[in-house]
Amino acid sequence: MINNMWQYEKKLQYPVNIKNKNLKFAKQLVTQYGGFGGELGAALRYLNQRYTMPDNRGKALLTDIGTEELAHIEIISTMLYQLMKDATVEEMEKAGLASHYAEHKNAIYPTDANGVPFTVTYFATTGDPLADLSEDMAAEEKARSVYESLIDLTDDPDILGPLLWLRQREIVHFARFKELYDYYKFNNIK
Amino acid sequence: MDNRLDFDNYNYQDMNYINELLLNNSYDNKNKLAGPYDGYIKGNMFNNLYDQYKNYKPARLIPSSEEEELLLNLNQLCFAAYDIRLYLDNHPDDKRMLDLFNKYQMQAKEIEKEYENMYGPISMSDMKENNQFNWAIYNFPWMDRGDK
Repeated sequence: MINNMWQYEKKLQYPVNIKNKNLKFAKQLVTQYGGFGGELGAALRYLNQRYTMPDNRGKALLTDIGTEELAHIEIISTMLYQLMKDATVEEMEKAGLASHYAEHKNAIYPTDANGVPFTVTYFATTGDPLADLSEDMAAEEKARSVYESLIDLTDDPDILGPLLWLRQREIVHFARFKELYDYYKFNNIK
Repeated sequence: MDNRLDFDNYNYQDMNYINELLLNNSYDNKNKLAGPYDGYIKGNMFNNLYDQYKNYKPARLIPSSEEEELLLNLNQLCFAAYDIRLYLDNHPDDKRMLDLFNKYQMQAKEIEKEYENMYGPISMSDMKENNQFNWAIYNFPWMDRGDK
């Protein structure tokens, strides 16, 4: 391996192969990219918080999960791209995506389901590991909840597969953050 | 095909190995690990953490080409190693889980080499030494439905 930087891997963590265009669902799904519970906010939250974790196990966990969230951005973005691919202006308009088309055509852009652009105020860094990890647990639960709403809103198996899988990752991340939180709390590590 | 992992058979063999490994393990004995295929399709290697939503079962990933089959084998091993790595971040002294991590990691590396020989580089640093710049030739993972 010869590389002195963060490395891109030319494969998805979980496969996405959506055969049917679905603009209405793309409009809802985009929140898991750029909404309050989205993967972009998750990646930035953990990758910023990790510097002030009190020990290396905390720095390791937040680096690893923060990096995984980048891979989840790639999964959601792939889904959005495939859901919107080859959509005509008329189809975009009919699906309520005229304003998206005006600014972005068929490109990907991080917003919530109402088209409100991503904002860094979705997350905080406090420099306090217990406060940060509490936020991280809440963030994983919120993302899980939104994935469940999205699962309720579709019956396309090509969409359900990745959504169920991403939802499960929120559950694993929550458990790992809680373990770390309990470890710091029990051992009074600040 | 026989030099590749048959993911169903592989899975069962592997679960036996892991269950054996987990006897007297620091990881809770009641909560066995999933095999790489099972864990991968669920998105969770740790059966005690698995949480099913309503009646939804995980999608069974069935490869439709030799490339997809190889990629599935690679992805499930990468995922198994990675999910164990998150556990190890919090439990760095769990030697048995470290052994398992190393085992999956090694198997993944072998399959990655095999995949790259046939279907092009997965990472820039894995490009083969020849006169062709093949990084920009092979497709990107979001491409589909006749993308060029």
